[in-house]
This record gives sequence, C-alpha cells and structure tokens, in this order.
Amino acid sequence: MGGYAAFFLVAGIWRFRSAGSRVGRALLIAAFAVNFAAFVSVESRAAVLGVTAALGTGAGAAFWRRGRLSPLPRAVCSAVCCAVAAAVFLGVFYGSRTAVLRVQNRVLGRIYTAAAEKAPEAVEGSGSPDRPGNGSTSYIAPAPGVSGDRERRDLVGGGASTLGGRSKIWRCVIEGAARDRHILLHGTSMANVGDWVETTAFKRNFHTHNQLLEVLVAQGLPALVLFLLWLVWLAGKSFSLAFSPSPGAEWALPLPLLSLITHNMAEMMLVGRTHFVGGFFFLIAGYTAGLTAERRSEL
Amino acid sequence: MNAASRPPAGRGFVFSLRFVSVFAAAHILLVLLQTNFLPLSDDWNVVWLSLELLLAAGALGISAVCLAYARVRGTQSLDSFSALFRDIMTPGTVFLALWVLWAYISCFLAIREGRASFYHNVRFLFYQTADMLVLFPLGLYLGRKSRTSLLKAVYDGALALFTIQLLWGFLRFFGGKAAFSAFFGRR
Repeated sequence: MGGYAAFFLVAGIWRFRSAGSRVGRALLIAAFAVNFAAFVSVESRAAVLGVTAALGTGAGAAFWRRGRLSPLPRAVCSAVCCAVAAAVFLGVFYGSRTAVLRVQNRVLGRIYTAAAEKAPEAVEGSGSPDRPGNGSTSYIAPAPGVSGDRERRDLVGGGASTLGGRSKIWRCVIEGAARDRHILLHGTSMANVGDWVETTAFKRNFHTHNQLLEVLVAQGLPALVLFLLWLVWLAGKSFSLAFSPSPGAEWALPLPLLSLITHNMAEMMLVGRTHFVGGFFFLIAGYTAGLTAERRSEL
Repeated sequence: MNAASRPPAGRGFVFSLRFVSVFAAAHILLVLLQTNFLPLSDDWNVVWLSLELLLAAGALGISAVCLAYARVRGTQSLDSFSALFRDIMTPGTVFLALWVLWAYISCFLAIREGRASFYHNVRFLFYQTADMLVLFPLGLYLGRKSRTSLLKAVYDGALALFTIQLLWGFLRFFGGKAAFSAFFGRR
C-alpha cells in the first residue's frame, strides 16, 4: 500500500505538473498522507522501511532523470540520494522501536500513575511497578492481558542488534529447514508455519518475519525458486519499462515493487494470510504484466 | 468502434459475461454473508464455502476483465478473451501459475504425510487464490488501459483496492467472533 501510495504520488505529480493543476497536486499529496498513515498504522515498522526506501530511491531517480542537481554528476547525485535513503532506512529501523517504546512508556506511565492515584489497590493487584514510568525510566508497561515475564520478554524483543529478534529467528529457521528434507521438498504447509517456527526458533511467533523464508518453510524449495523467478521477472520488467526511451509515468513503476520487497525482508505479505499488502502486490504484478503487454502490442 | 459496426454475434457474448460477473459477485456476497452470520455445521462446510468463494472469484475476475478488455479494444466478441489470454501468457505469470500449482501440490503432500490438516490449509489456499484471481486481472486491465489514461487507471486501481479491502474489513470487523473470523481472520 505504501508503494502504491508512492507510485500514486509520483505518477500523479508528474501528470498534474504538466497540466499545471495545483489542486490536483494538493489532492494527491493529501491522498498520499492518508495512505501512508493508514499503512503505517495497520502495518509495522517494515512498512515505514518500505515506503522510505521507495521514496528515497524515487527521489534519486527523479534527480537523475531531471538533472536537478547539476553541476554535480548524475551518478554522484544518485549515489548521494541512495545513501540518504539507506541512512533514513536504517535510522527508522533501529530508531523506531526505541521511539515507540519511549512514547509507550510516557503515555502508559501517565495512565498508570493516574490509575494508581484513583484506585491504588487495583493497580497493586495487577502487579504495579516500583517506578511508574515518566518517560525517562526503563519500565516497559505490560500490554493488556500480558502479565508473565516470558511474554513481557517477547514483547520487548531481542533488541536492535538482532533487528528486534529477527536475525535469531532467521538463523534458526534456515538451520531447521536445512536439517529437514521434508521442509526442503514440500514445506510444512501454510497453517503450520507458526507452530513450526515456534518449535524451531523457540519464540512466540506466527511467521518467519521474512517472505522468502516463509515460502521456503510453507511450501518448500521448489516454491521458493518459482517465487524468486516471478519476483525477478517483475523487477526486471518494471525497470525496463521505467528506463525505456519514452517511459511516461511508468518510470515510477519500480517504486511500489521496491517498497514491497523491502517490506518483505522484515515482514511478510503472502502465505498464511493475505491482507492489504498482499492484495496490492497481486494488483501491481498484474499492472506490470498489462503494461508489458501494452508495450509489446505497440511495437 | 461505433455500435453499428460491431459484430452482432458479440452482443450475446457480452451479455453472457455481464450475467456471469453479476452472478459471481452476488455469489461472493452470499458466501461472505453466510460465513459471517449463519452457524457453520462443521469444518467441511467451511472448506466447501471457501471453494465456492474461489470459483466465484475466478468467474468474476475473468469475466469482468474480459468485459473491460472488450471495452478498451472496441471489440465485442471472443477476441477480448483471446487478447486477455495473450496478455496473461508472459514468463512472469507462468512462474506465478506454477508457484500456485506447487502450493497446492505441496499442501497435499504435507497433508498426506500427516504434517498438516486438510481443513486449515485448504481454506487458506482457496482464499488466497480467490484474492489473486480478482486482483491480478484487475491490475492487468489497469496496466493495459494506462497508456490512454494513466492517472485514471491509477485512481481506478486505488478505488478498487480500497473498496475491496473496505468490504473485507467491514465484514471482518462486524463479524466479531463468528465463523467469519475463523474463516478469514489471522491465526
């Protein structure tokens, strides 16, 4: 969805700028803001990563195409834009969890303090902390329904050094899959991935936090190969359309794909649960196939 | 192409496609309502309903896109279907089709080995294929149409995606703890 929003924004601005409509441009920016907010609210930090990477690369491509940053060489401009995008990308990834927890501490700490002043016995009964956080403490407020230490550790995660515990899961999943020839051949099926990951990675999780590993565990190595071939074809076609001699607004087409692929390195959109992002992926895949056919018929 | 020059035989074809698409859309709605508000007797009932959903989604996706192709290309006959087929037959979509096929094969292999339950996995597969059968042809049509009006195609895509997701989200939200949650909800 974030990728779609990026495509929506870039293609729309490109279109409206030639028409000179400020209202249209404002509407598109507003639509992008709404899409972005909705996407980030229903998805996780991976969504922010995908959108950031797509927009950063899109800005780099735009500078490259338009030569806005001359007198610098275009290659330097592109490299700078990509580096900025990567820095933002990593900053969001590493920083967002800390920021979220800080805000969570502050908000929940105040709520907790207010509740303790009104009904101290109720708060004591639910395991009140010694220090009701004020934003500067290290207290992690328990989520509703979570009281045990293990669950709390799972919520806190593995820290930034393990990408929120993801790298541990990935390593366990790869090692587990390599040991089991049935997993390599046909996988453990969609509905059982969560159980398999929990058994293998010793962590409460419903998925592998990586689309490629999810396909491997759910459907085996043949499915992973086919899925990768499909992704490579999509990426290749979108880039060839974007860099064709007269691309029109198709030059923004790689943005949603880049956004989705980035998102899928830390989360997943298909297999087991199809939702907003997966639906968008099917849509953009069909869109790329349709554009390819249109170009083929023009030749 | 104006109406006078259209081949007369094509009108029946278009009427058939319209009938199929409306019927399939109504069927999808009925299935969703049934899973949402009526008690389901057993697991097989849910599997059967998900199969119904898959077939209806396939019929809706293909017939609606054929209609749209016929409109874009100005043809009113089976030409639109053959054009759609030619567009679909790219290496990328062949990989996609093989991936989906392998998903079914691997699922049944896992079920045969006793690693997976038929009920939980088949409904996932049916649901995901249904999603794909509606959204991939829609994207295909939008891509085909975009050379004439890209922005309109983008808006159409956004509108369609939002509408679909809104409908599923609406039913999921108001379905509460009913069978619908077990059918479409997260594990």
